[in-house]
Amino acid sequence: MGPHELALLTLRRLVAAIPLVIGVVVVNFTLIQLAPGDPTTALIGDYPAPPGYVEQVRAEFGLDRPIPEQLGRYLWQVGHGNLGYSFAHRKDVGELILERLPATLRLMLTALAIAIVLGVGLGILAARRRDSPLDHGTRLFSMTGYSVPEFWLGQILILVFALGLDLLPSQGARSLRAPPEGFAAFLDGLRYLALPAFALSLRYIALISRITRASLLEVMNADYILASRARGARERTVLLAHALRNAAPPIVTAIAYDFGFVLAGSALIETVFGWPGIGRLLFESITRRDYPVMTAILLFVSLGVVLANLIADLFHAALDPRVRRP
Amino acid sequence: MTEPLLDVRDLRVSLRRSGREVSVVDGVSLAIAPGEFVGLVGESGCGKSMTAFGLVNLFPTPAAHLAGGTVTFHGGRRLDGLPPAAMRRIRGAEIGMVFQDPNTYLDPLLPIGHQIAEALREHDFAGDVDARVLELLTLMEIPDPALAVRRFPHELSGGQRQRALIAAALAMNPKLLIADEPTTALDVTIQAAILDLLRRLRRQLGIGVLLITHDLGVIAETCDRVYVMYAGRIVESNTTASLFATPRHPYSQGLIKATLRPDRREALFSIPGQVPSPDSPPAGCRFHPRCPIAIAKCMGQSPELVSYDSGSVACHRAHDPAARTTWSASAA
Amino acid sequence: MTGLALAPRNTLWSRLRRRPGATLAMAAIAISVLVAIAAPLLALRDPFSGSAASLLPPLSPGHPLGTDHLGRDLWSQLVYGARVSLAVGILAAASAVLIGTAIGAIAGYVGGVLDNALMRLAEFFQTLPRFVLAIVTIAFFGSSVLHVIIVIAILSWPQTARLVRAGVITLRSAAFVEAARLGGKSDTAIVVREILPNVIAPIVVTGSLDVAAAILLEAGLGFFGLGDPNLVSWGGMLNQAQQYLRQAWWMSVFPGLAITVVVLAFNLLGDALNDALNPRLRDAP
Ligand SMILES: Nc1ncnc2c1ncn2[C@@H]1O[C@H](COP(=O)(O)OP(=O)(O)OP(=O)(O)O)[C@@H](O)[C@H]1O
Ligand code: SF4
Ligand SMILES: [Mg+2]
Repeated sequence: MGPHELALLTLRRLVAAIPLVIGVVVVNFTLIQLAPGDPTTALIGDYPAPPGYVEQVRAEFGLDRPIPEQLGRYLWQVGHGNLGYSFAHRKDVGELILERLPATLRLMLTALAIAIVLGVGLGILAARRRDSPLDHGTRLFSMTGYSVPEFWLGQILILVFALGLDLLPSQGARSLRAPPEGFAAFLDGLRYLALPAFALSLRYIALISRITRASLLEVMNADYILASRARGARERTVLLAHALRNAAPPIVTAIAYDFGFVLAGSALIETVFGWPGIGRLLFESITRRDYPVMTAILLFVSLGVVLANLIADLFHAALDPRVRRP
Repeated sequence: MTEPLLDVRDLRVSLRRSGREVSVVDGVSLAIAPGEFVGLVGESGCGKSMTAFGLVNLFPTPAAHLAGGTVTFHGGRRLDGLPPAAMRRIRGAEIGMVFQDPNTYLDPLLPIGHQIAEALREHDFAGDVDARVLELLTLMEIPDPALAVRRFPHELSGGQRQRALIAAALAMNPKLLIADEPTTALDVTIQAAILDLLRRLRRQLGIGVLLITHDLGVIAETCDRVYVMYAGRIVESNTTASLFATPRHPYSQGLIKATLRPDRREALFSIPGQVPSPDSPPAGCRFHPRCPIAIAKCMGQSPELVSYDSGSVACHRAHDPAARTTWSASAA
Repeated sequence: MTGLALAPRNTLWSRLRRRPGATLAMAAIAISVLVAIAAPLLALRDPFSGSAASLLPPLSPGHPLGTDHLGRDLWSQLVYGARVSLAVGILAAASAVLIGTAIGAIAGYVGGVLDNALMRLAEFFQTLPRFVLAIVTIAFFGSSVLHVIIVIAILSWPQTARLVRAGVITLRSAAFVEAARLGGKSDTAIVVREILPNVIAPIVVTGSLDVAAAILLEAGLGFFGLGDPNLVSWGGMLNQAQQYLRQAWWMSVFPGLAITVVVLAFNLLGDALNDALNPRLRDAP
């Protein structure tokens, strides 16, 4: 796929995602409107705010105007990056979130990488040894992995590996005395990442291994697999060059589809491990009734899901020439 | 026949179906001489494809497996019971295969050049792979080979896809090509072109060809000899000329009658009834429920394949003069 | 068609019983439902009343699973917590299935622009991050069991809607539906009496999986401190446990196990139902 083709496709998918994003903002607006009490509370939060600021919000969002106009103003404000001000944190909400974003991304992407490697690996093993004890074991494992609340798994991991065996730290993202950078800092970060990333990835491992198994079994029946074998291809070639490639689209779709769940899981996991990311911010803003932070996080997470689906689409296009039609 | 290229004796293929073994190829014997063009014909479901898969011990479903017989290939090598790694080195290198539907037998996600090159790479081709791919595409008469290598299957016509698959099958210069209904899924004009191509390749490369089809018309145009298969067994074999001139088995006669279309407008003939399911094959001669000249013996005793002149036939009434024109008396 | 709908259900039952996982799952579900119903009988004391005996380990006299930081009996909390988890799980899933069935049936039967709009809506709901949206909604509206049920139901209907729509579209022009139409039956009667009984199978499967997902979601809300403050819930117990991990592992272990077992049971049941209803997969070699 040429860069021009890719750019065009990305643009088309971005345009297609616009209604989705507007929809999410409308959901936020609806929540603010329907919430019991004064909409200013929903826009500002329960922390004491200077009266001048309350008046400013009233004016900006046109709270004395008819609903349609309020919606228009809300879209306008959000569209221009005005996510409000958090008096609990004494900070602009957008800034606050961008500050916490890297930690969450680090946790999520690590978990995702673990899940893809282990999930795809397990799925391949299960598919190749169909109906063997290994296959049944994988099935039970993934079923269980899908049923365990990840935050509880996090607590158990802390009980065993941090409190019991004293092997790994259980709270935070780095140690107080950690060097600011370099390999030692990286290792220190890994130690803190290990437990939360694993707790977060289990559900994803379960999902990916099941989809990989099913998709692979289906693809293995395809005629082109038979043709490749009739050509004398080694089983490794059949699997890597044909089967996995063709089995990939449903796996990628599932990963993107469940991205929202992992973001949610991340919120819970961050709370369990005191991880300084968006999830923990969400937890804190609940206790402090910091509503603008909550709605902004909802917006960001939704954008994350939309983005994940977009990336999945582009991945499909890169993989499958039939999807690429401009 | 001198030293045959392929000599198959009593080949058996079974399928596991809900816990039961079902025999779909039931003692097939056939031989192909080097450079010979041999046909295998029969209605759908007769076990033609399963016979072909049995030869290279590669099946479309894990439920199917070899259940007996010997397959002796070029140089007296036994293929049945060969370990998987050794069998793999024969597939695609010494025996090429082409299938019915060029649309589904090409991987949609890979350029055709890559799929042709796969046959070369997997057999550790010593020469220049890219050059060989171009040479093959030229040999297959695919226009603009340099561009075509980078085309994806969906960008090609059905005929070109089949040519690409044939190119992959012939990449390593095999001695035998098994073509399982290579033209069935194609338009009539393209069918003729592919058959022309196969004939030319056979002349040019001197390969033996096993052509599987349910269309005797295709056989008449291409094959030196032909095997007629019914319900998992060979019922007649002969040179193509003799088979068309004097078919001995009522089933062969029916197939020929169903093929020859006189210029006069006449209702197209087809043999009444259906191929029996391999789950419960009829006792005795498996054709007897559909045979207009069946006698009592046919129901109890299975006829042996008996040689005569240039061919062989498995019918209790093969030498009965009344059995020469089986279908004229009863034809509807 | 009702007669026909009965026949596969009978074989379904026997197919289900042949799977050890399904039998186990149904037993676990039955037991947890019984525990929830009989909670007042099974509880050893009031789950809310504290005592001086705080943070007692399991197998302490009078406290089989120990006590929490306020000296409340863990076993009694666990038993009462089953009520919230199961009630929320089952009621939320049932409401989601009802909403989804209605929307899916309308979309599939009416077709056209309405179908398009409804399916777009379903798609939109499926991209929304359910858990975060549930958190924000409950934070706005206040936590009560009813709110939790409503929110989960509103966020969970699309899967059922898609399945029902697909089923309705394939059956819309089936011979027996045409016959009913010629027989002068109303559209509603046709959909409810003729079509829906034939798409019940996939609905049951998603329904079962929905219960599992709803229980997990409720537990997550409880863990975030958004559970009903007037009731004991397993998620809420884990919230408390978080602060006492160092002192009282049992506060975390037992409620988490309870959630896992019940969720696993519903997931296993859904999975087994799916296999039993899809003979294609079942008979594959
Ligand atoms: N993939 C498969 N799975 C199960 N049974 C099969 C499979 N392929 C073929 N069979 C069964 O094996 C028997 C022989 O089939 P085979 O494909 O060899 O027939 P054929 O003569 O090649 O027919 P056709 O002209 O339709 O290709 C048939 O009864 C068929 O039902
Ligand atoms: S053996 Fe009998 S039944 Fe079979 S083909 Fe000959 S005559 Fe017909
Ligand atoms: Mg065939």
